[in-house]
Amino acid sequence: MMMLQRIDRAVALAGGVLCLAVITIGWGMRGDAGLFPIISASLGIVACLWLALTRRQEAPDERPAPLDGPRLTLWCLSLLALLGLMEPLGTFVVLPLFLVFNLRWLARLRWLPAVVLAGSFSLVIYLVFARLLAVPLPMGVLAS
Amino acid sequence: MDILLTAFANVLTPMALLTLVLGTLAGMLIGALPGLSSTMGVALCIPITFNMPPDLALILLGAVYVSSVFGGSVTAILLRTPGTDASIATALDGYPLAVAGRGGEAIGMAALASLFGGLVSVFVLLAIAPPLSTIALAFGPQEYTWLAIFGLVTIVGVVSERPVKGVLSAALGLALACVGLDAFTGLQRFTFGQNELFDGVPLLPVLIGLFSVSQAFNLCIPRDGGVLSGEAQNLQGRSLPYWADLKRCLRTLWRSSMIGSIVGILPGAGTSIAAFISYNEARRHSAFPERYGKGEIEGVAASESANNAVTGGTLIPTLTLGIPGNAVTAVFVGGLTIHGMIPGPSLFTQHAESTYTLIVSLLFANLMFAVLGLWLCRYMVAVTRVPGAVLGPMILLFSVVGSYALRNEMFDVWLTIAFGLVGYFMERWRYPAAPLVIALILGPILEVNFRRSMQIAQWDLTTFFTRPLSVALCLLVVLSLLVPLWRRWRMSRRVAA
Repeated sequence: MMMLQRIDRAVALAGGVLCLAVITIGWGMRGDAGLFPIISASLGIVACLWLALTRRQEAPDERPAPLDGPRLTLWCLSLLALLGLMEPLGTFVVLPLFLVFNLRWLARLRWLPAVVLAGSFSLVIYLVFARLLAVPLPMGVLAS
Repeated sequence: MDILLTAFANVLTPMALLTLVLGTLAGMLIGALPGLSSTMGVALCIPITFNMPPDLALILLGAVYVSSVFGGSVTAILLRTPGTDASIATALDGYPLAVAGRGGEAIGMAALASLFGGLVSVFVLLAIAPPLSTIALAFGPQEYTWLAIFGLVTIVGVVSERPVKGVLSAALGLALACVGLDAFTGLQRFTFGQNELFDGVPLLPVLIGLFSVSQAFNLCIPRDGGVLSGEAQNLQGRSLPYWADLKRCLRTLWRSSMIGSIVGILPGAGTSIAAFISYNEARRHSAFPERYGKGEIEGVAASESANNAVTGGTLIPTLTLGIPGNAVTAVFVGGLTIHGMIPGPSLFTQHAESTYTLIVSLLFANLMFAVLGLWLCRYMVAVTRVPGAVLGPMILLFSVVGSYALRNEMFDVWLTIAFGLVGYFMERWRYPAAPLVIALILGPILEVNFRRSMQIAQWDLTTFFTRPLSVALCLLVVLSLLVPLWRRWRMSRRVAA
């Protein structure tokens, strides 16, 4: 079976289960509070059935490009580290570190441009968000 | 007439012009940054206006409002990261143009179309504000229900090669719109005990995630990722649209500006609906509908003229009746009240000079962002030449900080990243993300008005077919469903023959 069609069927199955759960929960809601969730989920089930039961030819340019697993893993790990450490360490500690990591290892820049870019970008974020717009970004270890 | 001349004189003072330039630049920046909405921009400027004379204060607020809508289109075109929901439709054709090395041309068209839409809506505001707002008041819950359905039908038809994927995406958006406290019973729905979800799934983290974060993924993960593809990397590109393209788009500009002005008058209808309805209408009337979504400059013109026409439209009920049409104008009302001006019919009599100064300043603000946009687009387009792995992390960080800035909650940041991942895979597997966002916007409008109509009519469904405006909107929905089906049937017959 073709790749996208298999994905579509998996999406239809997952979507169908989710919609059934929404209908079940909506059914038990007080008054007419469950009406709209039931209508939305029913529409979802119709779409899932339609998606699962349709067979179509897959055009060659439709197939998604192969996924670069190691880069995706590196990117996701750095993202998780950014979010996880933003509050304990502080935005303006984690932000340049995240940028240096990505610019050095994913963009393959040399150390100097990576550090300069990361520093100047963090400065822009600081000036726009922290100073100009007074957004109370997590300061972490820099709070004191 | 005298009052108009006085208003022009007020706007043309050096201080007023400086305020206009600063407001326009600030608005463009706010609109372009993911997470900073027009509402936030106007709200942030209100404290600055405390010590300003009322005329200057209104000029600043007006300039920030109209230019922030245009600002969103710059990043939507160049990076496929719409700053606001108003620019989602612009990204559909703007980004493919940028990918083909025609980003400058697309921004130029966006600036001119926004100027056109903005000017039309200001003239509508000047000329026929009071009667139009009376018609808008005739819209009851039944009409809003049909309008929301019309918006949904339009968006599903517009963005997907396979309508079923659009329907599934919209259904997911509608289901997400059910999260939060129920407006009628006060029941918590699908919140799973999370306080952050009491007000529903916040729109902007979803928008930023699906469009900006997913784009950061797209740029970073492929080894040679970037905005420009293939031969486009060697193209110099124009910074102004061709005269022939402008002439070709003139009818679309008029139609979209009128749609934008009218939709803007309807309280709660929103800029994204106007942009999508106009985009759909432009595609329907085009001789080459198959080019839409692949880099058709008329698509950019349609959505941009409509979303900027909404700005004048929303001010009509706000100024004439004191009814803010959306969140930005609600904040705007706050700004007016601070300066002792109570929105409503008296505004045009007791504070006529300041009110007309505001309207005239909107004209100049539109001119200002168009001039700045046309001048700056040749420089802004350079961003498309930056390698994807350099650009991606920066887009992501703007998205993270922008989504945190919305409510100062880490929950919103996690939500943004989660939707970013969803958006990345939706794009890979060819599921359109726009119906999800539009359904999330329209869901509450649809639900509240549907249930309100049902309660008024004591669960009699015929209430949706007994009012003339309802019937007209119902016919629009039916037509927008049937016309594409009829076209497809006619094309298949032609192919068979």
